[in-house]
Amino acid sequence: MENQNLNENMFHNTTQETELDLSTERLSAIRNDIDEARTKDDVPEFINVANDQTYQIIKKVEKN
Amino acid sequence: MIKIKRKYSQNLSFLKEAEFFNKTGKLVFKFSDIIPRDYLVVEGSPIGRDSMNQYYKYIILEEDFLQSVIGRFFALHEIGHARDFTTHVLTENESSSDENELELKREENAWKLAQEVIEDLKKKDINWFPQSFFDSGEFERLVNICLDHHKSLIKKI
Repeated sequence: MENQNLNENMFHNTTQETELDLSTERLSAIRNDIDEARTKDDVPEFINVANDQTYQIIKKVEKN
Repeated sequence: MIKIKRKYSQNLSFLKEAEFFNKTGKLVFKFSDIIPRDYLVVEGSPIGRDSMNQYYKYIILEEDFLQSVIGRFFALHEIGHARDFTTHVLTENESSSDENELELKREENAWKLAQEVIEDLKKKDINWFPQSFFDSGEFERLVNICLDHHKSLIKKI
């Protein structure tokens, strides 16, 4: 299974130039959404779940 | 093994491709195959705050989301939303409607489509989650937490 091999060392991050639509308007919308997400102070239950270490690393969960 | 291609622009990270290889080195799946056409995948969301924008067509996921169960879980949900809005475009009636039940329907659809993606991946021998994640009811539990959250938002309006 692929996720058994999933760890940071097996990611081969590269940067390639291909066409992405990165218009100013689009980038601005993205930044606004990220900023809004960072400044939200409500903590719904699924945020707590998201921060649960159990779910952070694929390998940990597989062992469980 | 997963090979990832990113583009960095103006302090933003865009996931261009994630190629999944099996043990023999054969390419078995490309992440872009499950992303609706013209959608950008941005890595930059705080954990648990993933989002999707149907107007500008982008999905914002947490950094290195593929490396964690919850990252993949939320990613599939946002992909489900993108697929839903691609096949069922937002209508004027819906966008101006006070009936937030429609929003809840969108949430349910997103999870249904996410599950379809999971099943499609399984057919290709790509298992994004341990089987125990489903067998233990954990996947369903997390889906319900998400839906309950959206239901609670509706009650507040």
